Amino acid sequence: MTALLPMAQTPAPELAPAPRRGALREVGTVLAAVVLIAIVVSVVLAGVIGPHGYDEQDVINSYAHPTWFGHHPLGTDNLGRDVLVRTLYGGRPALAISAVAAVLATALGLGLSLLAVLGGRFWDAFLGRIADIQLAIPTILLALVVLAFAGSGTKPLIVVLTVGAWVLTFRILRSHAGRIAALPYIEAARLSGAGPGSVLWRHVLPACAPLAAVGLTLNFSSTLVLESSLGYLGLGVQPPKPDWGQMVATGQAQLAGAWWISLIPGAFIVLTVVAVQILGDRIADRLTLITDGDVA
Amino acid sequence: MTIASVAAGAPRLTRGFRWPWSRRYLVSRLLNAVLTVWAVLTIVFFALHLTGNPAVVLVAPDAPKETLAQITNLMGFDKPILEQYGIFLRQIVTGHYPDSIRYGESPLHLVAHRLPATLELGAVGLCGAIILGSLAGYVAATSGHRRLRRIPVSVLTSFEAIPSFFLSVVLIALFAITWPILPFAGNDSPDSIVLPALVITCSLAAPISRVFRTSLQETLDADHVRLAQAKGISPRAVMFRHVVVNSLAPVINVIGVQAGVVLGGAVVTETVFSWPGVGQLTTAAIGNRDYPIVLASVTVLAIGFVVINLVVDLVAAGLDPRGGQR
Amino acid sequence: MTAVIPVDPKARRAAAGIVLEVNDLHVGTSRKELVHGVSFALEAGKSVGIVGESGSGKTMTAMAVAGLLPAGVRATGGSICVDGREAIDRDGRLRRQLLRDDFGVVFQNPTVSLNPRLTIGDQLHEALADDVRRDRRASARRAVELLDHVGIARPQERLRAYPHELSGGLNQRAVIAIAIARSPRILIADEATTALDVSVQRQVLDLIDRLRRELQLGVIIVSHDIGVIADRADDVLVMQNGETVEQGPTTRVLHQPAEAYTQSLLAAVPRIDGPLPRRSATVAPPVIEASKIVREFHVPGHRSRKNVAVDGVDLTLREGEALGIVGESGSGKTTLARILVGLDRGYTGDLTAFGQPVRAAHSMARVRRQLRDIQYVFQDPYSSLDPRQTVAEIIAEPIELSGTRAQKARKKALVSELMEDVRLPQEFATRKPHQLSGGQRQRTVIARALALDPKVLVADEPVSALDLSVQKRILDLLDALREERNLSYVVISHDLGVIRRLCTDVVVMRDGVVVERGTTESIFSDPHDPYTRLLLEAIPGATWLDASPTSTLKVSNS
Repeated sequence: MTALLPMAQTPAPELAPAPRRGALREVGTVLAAVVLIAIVVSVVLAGVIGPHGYDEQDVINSYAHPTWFGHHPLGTDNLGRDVLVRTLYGGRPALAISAVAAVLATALGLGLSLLAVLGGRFWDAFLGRIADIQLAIPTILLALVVLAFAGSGTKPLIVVLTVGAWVLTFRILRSHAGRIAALPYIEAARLSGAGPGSVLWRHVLPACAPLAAVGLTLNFSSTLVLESSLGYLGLGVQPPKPDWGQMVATGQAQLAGAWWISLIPGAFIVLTVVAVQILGDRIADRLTLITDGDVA
Repeated sequence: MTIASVAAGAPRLTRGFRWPWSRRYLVSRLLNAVLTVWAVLTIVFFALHLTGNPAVVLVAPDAPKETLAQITNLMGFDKPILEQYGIFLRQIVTGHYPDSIRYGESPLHLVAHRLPATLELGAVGLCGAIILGSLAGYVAATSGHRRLRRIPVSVLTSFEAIPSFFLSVVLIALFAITWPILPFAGNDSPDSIVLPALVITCSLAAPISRVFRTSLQETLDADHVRLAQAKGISPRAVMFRHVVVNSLAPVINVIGVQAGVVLGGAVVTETVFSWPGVGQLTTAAIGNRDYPIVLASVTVLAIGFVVINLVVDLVAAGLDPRGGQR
Repeated sequence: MTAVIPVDPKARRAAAGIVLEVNDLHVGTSRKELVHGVSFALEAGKSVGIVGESGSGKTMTAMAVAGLLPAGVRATGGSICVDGREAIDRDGRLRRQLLRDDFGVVFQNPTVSLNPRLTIGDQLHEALADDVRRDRRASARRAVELLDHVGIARPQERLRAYPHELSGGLNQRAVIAIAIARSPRILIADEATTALDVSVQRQVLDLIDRLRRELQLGVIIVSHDIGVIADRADDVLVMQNGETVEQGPTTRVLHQPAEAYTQSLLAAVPRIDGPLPRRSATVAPPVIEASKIVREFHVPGHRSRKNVAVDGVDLTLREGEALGIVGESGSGKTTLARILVGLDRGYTGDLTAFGQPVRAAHSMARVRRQLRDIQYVFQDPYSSLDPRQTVAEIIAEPIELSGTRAQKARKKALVSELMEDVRLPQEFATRKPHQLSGGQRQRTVIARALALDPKVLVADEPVSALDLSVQKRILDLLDALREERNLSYVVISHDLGVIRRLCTDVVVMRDGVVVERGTTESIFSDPHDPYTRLLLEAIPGATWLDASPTSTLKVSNS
């Protein structure tokens, strides 16, 4: 190894870019958090908020325009069912299924990436190959095939969503963990007597946790999108139970006359996804600031 | 003179062309591709047979037992699974699939008939995404104005957050119903490609822009850029010959990944806009439980994706004089 | 050479052949000033050295002169006069033209300074004069001419080569060719040889000297290596924290430094004629014995090709000794060190530690248990510490993992004692690495290595990533620790001065084999092997040491 140039005693703060701060950014974060909490809370409390059941038909009042603050605030659909209530109830399968799948996918991606990095060349090659193959199958396609021929339902949905989402987390964490594992302080730990388990627990996992947390938010937004796309195609939760994606599909025929049936549930999807992404972005920023001076 | 130096616009000082990939590299990549296609198809096969007898899905639940037995026999679903697998592989290699249940003709013909439409849509959408994404990423990494650096990428990212089916519905509501200027079904008129391609572009541009921005930022910090500047050549020459070309590799990789997303997303987008491509055929076939078509179209899409990735890999390796020799 | 230029500047300049005049130069960002008033003049055919530690502003000064400051940094005051033309208030295009026509710049790491995707020829072409560039044949000819001028053999062939296909030395020559392509007046060498092996360093510096004379260039040498400055610079500026501490003719400044800082800087240089470390008179029992060690690596991708890093090495470390392993890059010294400590078990041969044989076939954990008394000090204090741990946690980790019950019981007390041993203030225990300076980090690394009370420390380039003044303190610390704790050392270094400071015995390696071994005294005063002699002679600063009053060593200049 040839000589290194003597490093600076301290990093040169005056040449480092200033952290991005601004009133607009703070407002955005707060807004996103508020929106997300509002959506989650109202979905959970759907039974309490809406005076009607989600299946309560009121055919006389069908296609009622949204009144925003009065009776049927978000209008009614073709059978007179209240759109607000249906949307709130429709959020339950959407959010629950996506959240569970996101957690599972992140755990799977994290676990397998650690196995790939610390388990030796065999596991690295094997898991890498599986990930490559999986990426070769467009997720939607696989989901369609599985759900069509194996039957749809909550459990198959969760499985399909998890299988679709773990790969990206795996790839990102594997390259990150790979870089960490090559750093001298990992060797130092082994010299101190750490076995692979100790190395993992003491050094690699803490180094990967921030990225995994960000990955969790990204996974949630992508599983939510996938879940609602499948619902749109009729392969998600089946009627009469409402589901956001499903509602967008059934309302599409009435776009010209009663746009709210289709667009309201869709708006909820978009709001949730955007809010989650903004919060995920902020978490990433904060974690970078915390590990300031990080070697990796 | 190699691809890289031509791409960089550098004048040719030296004669001769160096083939950028070693034979070993090409062979290994090809083997890789074949292996991947085989694995994908195997997975699809077993996915299709998850419930044991796919015929169960093909008949109505209250049909008499004989119908089920008939179909099972007809499709060969009663043979041992490994034998079915062997037949399946043979079908793929020879291209002789059982006839479509619904249409009664060879699924490969049907798929081949629909393929151009899908490719057309995918190509237009991807090109739009590349152009938009590259511009946004370039501006984000190099612009002097703070706003210009942040806004384009943020805008693209927000579009990415909207699920493509919903974006399609919204666009239809806006541009086909409220202001009826664009068609929203089929591909009869030349401007019917606008809306579906727009949806694809919006979904794909964001990752391209982010990766390009990051890659440019990293390259701008690199030492060889300093030396290029030290030669006193114009900043524009430095930017294009030394920064942009060196930043392309990760972007090309992302484009490869996005191509897969296009192929998959095409399924949804084609369905929403009734665009007569392979994706729409597949969803209809799944709705009709038309097993042979599903098989054929998944095969074609998987092969297509692997081919695209192979090309992308080769291009990326060709651009880097160090890469193509392994 | 004086700081401020007196009356009738034009006449004086013309008469003295002054190509560059810097007067009261200030450089800074919008928030902070980095260079506070530097002045010097440079004559054609002469060289000025700017020496200092990191953060001294030496690079910023040189870059400001050339017009290559990074974004956000500007020359905020003073004047830069290039060949009579004022440069400081020129805008982009004119400044670039000045850079293009009058300056040539050589940076530190040649393989990285060159664009990996373009051939040498392509990159050289960019630097050629406009009229030459237009004609393809003329430019090819000129390119070959330039490569030949800088001593690159087979220039036509090399035009088509990529940087990764050439060695560091060849690449640096190519960079120099690019720098002189348009016959500039001034050449700036910013740590131009730091990343090169010592023997190659000398060749490259010789080349720069030759070009300086032939082309009557004014050369600015920026370096942290005082030896390089001593050999090659006619005048020198010593900088610290953006200010010129002292300047004048090199011989005067280096032999009779007026300022305290200069004096301490010069005292910090590990000298190859410095005092020898203490050595016991009796022959001690061996602690580590290595015999016929061979380590081969498979070249990835080529199944049959092998890279033999260590090719049959015998080594003995005795109790109380400090053994230095010296060599250039590729000599196998780091590989050998890793084998001795148990990090690398892919070798063949016999290794015995504390009388017990070490079996390569055993798992790393088992080998490390056996070699518990041999610990390792890493080279880079930045990446050898987990940025998420506090100092106390870092030092405590070996105790928690492998300590005896007694050690674990007094873990906290042990950590405090260790921090004291390495002269780290106790308040630092809760700090994280990014809150420490380079020297403090290296002390933490040493404390961690001592946590299990080892008998042997293997140190791989323990100070090469540190500033000169910090180097001295760490070397002093290591020397003191050896005495206080009765340790034995294996020290890997390419720097003979460090070896001399720390080691009682030396082994010289080249291409995986030991070419010479002996006591430090004998190796330095009477080297037998021609390679050892080459290494000693190639050390920059020999002239300075020769004439220095404290020199006890005569190094021949051939």
